[in-house]
Amino acid sequence: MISEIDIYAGLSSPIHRWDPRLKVISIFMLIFSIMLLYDLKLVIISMLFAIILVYISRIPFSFILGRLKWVFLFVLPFLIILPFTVIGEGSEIAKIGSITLNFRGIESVEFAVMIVIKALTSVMLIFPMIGTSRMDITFKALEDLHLPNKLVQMLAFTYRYIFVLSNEFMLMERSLTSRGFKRGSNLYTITTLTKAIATLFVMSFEQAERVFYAMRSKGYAGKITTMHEFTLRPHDWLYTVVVCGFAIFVQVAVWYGTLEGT
Amino acid sequence: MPAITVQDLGYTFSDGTAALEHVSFEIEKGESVALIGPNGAGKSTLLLHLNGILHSVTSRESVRILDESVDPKKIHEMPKKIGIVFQNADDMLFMPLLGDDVAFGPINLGLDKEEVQRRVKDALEMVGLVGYEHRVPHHLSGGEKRRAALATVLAMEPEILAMDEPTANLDPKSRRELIEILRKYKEKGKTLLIITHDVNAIPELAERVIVLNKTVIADGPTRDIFSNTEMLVEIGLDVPVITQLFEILQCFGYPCDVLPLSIGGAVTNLTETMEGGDGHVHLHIHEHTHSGISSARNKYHNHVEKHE
Amino acid sequence: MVHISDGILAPWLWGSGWVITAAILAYTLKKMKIDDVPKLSVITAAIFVASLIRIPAGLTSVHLVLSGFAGVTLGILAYPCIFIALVMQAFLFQHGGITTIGINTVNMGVPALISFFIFKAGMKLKLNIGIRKNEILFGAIAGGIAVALAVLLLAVELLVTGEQFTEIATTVVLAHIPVILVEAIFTGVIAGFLATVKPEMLSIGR
Repeated sequence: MISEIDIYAGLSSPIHRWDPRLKVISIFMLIFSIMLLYDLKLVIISMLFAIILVYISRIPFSFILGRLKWVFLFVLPFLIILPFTVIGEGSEIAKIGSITLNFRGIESVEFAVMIVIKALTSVMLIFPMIGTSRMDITFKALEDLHLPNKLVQMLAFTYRYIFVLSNEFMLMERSLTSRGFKRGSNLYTITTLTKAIATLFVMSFEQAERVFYAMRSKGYAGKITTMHEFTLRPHDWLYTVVVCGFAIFVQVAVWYGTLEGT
Repeated sequence: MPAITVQDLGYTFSDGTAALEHVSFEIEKGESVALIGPNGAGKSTLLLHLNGILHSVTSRESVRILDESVDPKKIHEMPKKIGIVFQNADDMLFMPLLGDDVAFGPINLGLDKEEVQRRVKDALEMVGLVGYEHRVPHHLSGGEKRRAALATVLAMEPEILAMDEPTANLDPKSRRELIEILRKYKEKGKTLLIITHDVNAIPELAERVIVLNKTVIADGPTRDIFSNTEMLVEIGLDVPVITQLFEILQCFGYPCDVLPLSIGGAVTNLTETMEGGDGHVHLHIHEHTHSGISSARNKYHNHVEKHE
Repeated sequence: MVHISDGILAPWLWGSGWVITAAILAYTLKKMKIDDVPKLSVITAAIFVASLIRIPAGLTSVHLVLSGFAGVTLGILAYPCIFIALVMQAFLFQHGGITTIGINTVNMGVPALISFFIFKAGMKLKLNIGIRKNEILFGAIAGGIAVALAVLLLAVELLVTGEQFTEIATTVVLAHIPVILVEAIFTGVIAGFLATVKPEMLSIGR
């Protein structure tokens, strides 16, 4: 039911060797920078840059494409609906009863394409960002970056228990199916699934209590420290300069473009 | 010096049902004790009182560990004295990586880095999971998880080790491995308290048995407890299969005063009997054989078929 | 579907989303006891897992949003939990976006807080409609309102971003009507269930 994003963390590539703290910050910054763009050319260049990063990271494109599929399905309506309008202005292309369907023009197609590319680029960049380190190392990097301790602890615990609970729900679902339960569009299905989920919640609440007891039994007093230590080497800074450099470059290009335009 | 002293401990759940009533016992340092009792007898609840996780106003006076009372405000200092391994390994392994889980306790004890690393290595070695530091808990098998959970506690090197159902739901090999790990720990002279329904494992692990059913029903050497079959069967417990077999053999005229509790005991017993005789055992059917067998089987709920 | 992908909303909108989320997070994290962390995390994981379950609704199927449920059970601590769940969804499943985590948390978290206050107020009313019915009724209201408000917020944000999003916004609202219904039934049933089985899980006591 749940697949891990870090299954290719064991590969070896420059991105894998990049210090996770700088990696997370740099690519995070890059994503923000790209999302600020509203220039189709720059957006396409950014996507190419993202593809290069993915290529260097050696994470198989097939793995990424499988996950991009869902984002694409989400933004597809934008591609289909955005260029047309029933209330706005445009060239009339169809009339169904009292509703007139208008085409907004080629600019709106470009705009829709840009939205789709931006959404896909952002998702693509997740993979070099956190798919190239083991999840636990990424959590440690976040801790080292002084994110609030409570948040990092919650992230790590939630991550761990997602797998435990999804497994438990799968078992529960199997037991429902093995007793003849079939999903259908009716109130019975909704209430049955609701009760199954409710049981999952009660179980999780009780498990949470036991986990807390276990932690207390192991001397937990509110602070979690692990032993991983990060070291920065010259190449870490080199990659940071390249990626952050690109993020700044596109913004400068926008700014320069506006100057030219005036 | 007593390792665990429990004096008149009581505990009531928030819904008003009594979990423990007037529980009293004392375990000496270096002793290994099995705590048995039917489901819902309060065994796990008792365990959680030993390091102060569950506590009430009265319990603070009732429980002493290594001759010191348990302060609920200082629970985080308890693991040095007593380590508790919970029944469900998933509750114990909450970190993203097994190595972190094992290091969790030692770090909380404030040990320095080298010492933490040594503890992690030793603990994983003790449970036979060398090199598992970088494994992800949800990828481990049930047996590995159980041993991993044990390692997270062993790494704190507690004076007393308390474990809830160490052998439940394990395949025979994993069960064997776990028993061996606990035996080795016991041989180091540490105090061991094991909650279990696995009566066949008790003779190997514990020299003393405490029977709990909200209160202490019986407490004594393993052999004595297992010879009181009526009491055990009464509250829904069992004696080892080997013991039951030798009771049946007795009905066939096998001379045996003290019933063996384990395979090892059975081998010794058989050898001694044969050496005492003329090299073989003589079994035969006599007038009380059938009635003896049916009463023995009835006793353990292995009822003889009723129809003639 | 309530959480929006990257690159669609106007930057000032998702930017303000981060500011609002940071502020509410700072406040709620301060209110959160460190001892609550393991408990909240396991419940967040449960909410996350439950939101992956498909529930049939008419011709399609919907995923539960569970923001109302989070409010009803966790009170104001629903906000950090929703934040964590959205971070997980964005990074592990690529559902929703990265730059939009802030605004998505606002869209789901603020309605969750509102539904918490509605539920709490409802429990104080002491309507004499029989045992558990109170929880079921206000659970359903809280669950339905949480999603309805989230959808409305998103629709408004789309409209504010640009006139060309009008049709999209309408589609989003229409598409969520079955979700609102399912979510209302779900939250009502679960609130009633918890009231009998595990009342300490309901936020009233907090």
